[in-house]
Amino acid sequence: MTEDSKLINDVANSEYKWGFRFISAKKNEPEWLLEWRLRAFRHWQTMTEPKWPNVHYPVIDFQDIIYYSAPKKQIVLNSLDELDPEIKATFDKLGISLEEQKRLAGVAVDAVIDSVSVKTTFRESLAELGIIFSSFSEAVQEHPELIKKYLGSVVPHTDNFYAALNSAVFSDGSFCYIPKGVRCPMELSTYFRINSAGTGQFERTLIVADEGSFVSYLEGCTAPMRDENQLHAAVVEIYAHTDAQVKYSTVQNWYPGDKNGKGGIYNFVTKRGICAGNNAKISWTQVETGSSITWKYPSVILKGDNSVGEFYSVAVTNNYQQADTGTKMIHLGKNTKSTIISKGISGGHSNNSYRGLVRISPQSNKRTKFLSVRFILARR
Amino acid sequence: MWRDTFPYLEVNNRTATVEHEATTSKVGEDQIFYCNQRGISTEDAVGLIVNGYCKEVFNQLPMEFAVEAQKLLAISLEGSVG
Repeated sequence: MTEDSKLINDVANSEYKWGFRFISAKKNEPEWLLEWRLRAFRHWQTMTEPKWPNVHYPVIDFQDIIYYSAPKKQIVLNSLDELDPEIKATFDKLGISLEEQKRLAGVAVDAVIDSVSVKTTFRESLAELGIIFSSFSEAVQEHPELIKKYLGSVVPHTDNFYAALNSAVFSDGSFCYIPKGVRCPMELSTYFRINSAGTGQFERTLIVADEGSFVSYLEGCTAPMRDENQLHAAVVEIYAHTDAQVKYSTVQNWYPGDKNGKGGIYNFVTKRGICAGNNAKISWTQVETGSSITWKYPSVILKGDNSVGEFYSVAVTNNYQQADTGTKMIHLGKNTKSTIISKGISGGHSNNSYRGLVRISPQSNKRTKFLSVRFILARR
Repeated sequence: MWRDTFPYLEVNNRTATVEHEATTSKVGEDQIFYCNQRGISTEDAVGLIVNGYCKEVFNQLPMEFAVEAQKLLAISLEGSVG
């Protein structure tokens, strides 16, 4: 092999094949972010897939995943009426009309369809309060200093196999910043959908709550019925400063596969928040009913003194679904407190595990209430 | 079928208080029987019992999500009993 063809071969088989430059160029990303992706990718290549979760699935061919897919038409919308009729039909089928959501619930929706945010509503009224709520790629363009400061500050690219993969190839997601002392007047909501066949979705969500602020964030997921396995490896990072409060709620009902366990979404998600300042509070609430496999541990690092972490979870599995889910509460600050309430409901041939860690460091003294409950549905 | 818990507790501080409890149970036959007697189908009864069991968590959800979650739960469990 000549030197040239070897070079081309190397390139084709390594980073380029994964489309970093493609994603980066397409999104017009700054050089430092491309470097960040490449650093994550190089680290990911040295890692092995975790085998400790109590779930079983065929080997994933990571080369076979389409790492970036966008709706064919790039549309700039002035109003919701201009929304692609097909996308609108999808919303209607799911019983979620954006207008209704907008008018009735007063929820700003950042609809993520196939990785690119199509429409963000309520931005202006939020902007008046100094709240930034936008797609991740927009935030990279408009607020690079915030992204640079907080990206990877809670979940570093070295954290775990799927977080590293996400860091390398994440397509889009949401960014939210609540300035000092602001109480976000509405619930912020993102709808995630997985629309095109064989598309791995690598969403990245970053929420920063500055001193004394409050925000309630909703994440709801639905996906159309589909035959093949779809990998979803998202990362959610929450950074809470002194006296800040963040409430993060998820209802997840992705396609769980059929009665014989065929198809369904692989949901390998890393979610973590840090109470960086004193008296901060982070609360996770999740209702997990979908996905063929759920691998998810929303965690809180209680670094500030008197900080509070909460985890409320319902995980439902039926047929051949598998779930290995729980939380980690890392107590570092003084008088930190955490509550864990985890409920599992399982039917059919499903597997359902709770896996959690409560770590209390020597310098912290605190009260922790930890409660885990399991529940089984009997098959007659 | 597995239903497992893996609770790891690492307490490196004497002044800390940590409580933990775990229970595993079935939907009570007598609870279902009670509902059946009053004209509530087994499927509906399971929905009621499970929703009651999850109330503690659902109460933490914003209103519109809580309603959606209850419906979801019932749909997810269809066909798991009977």
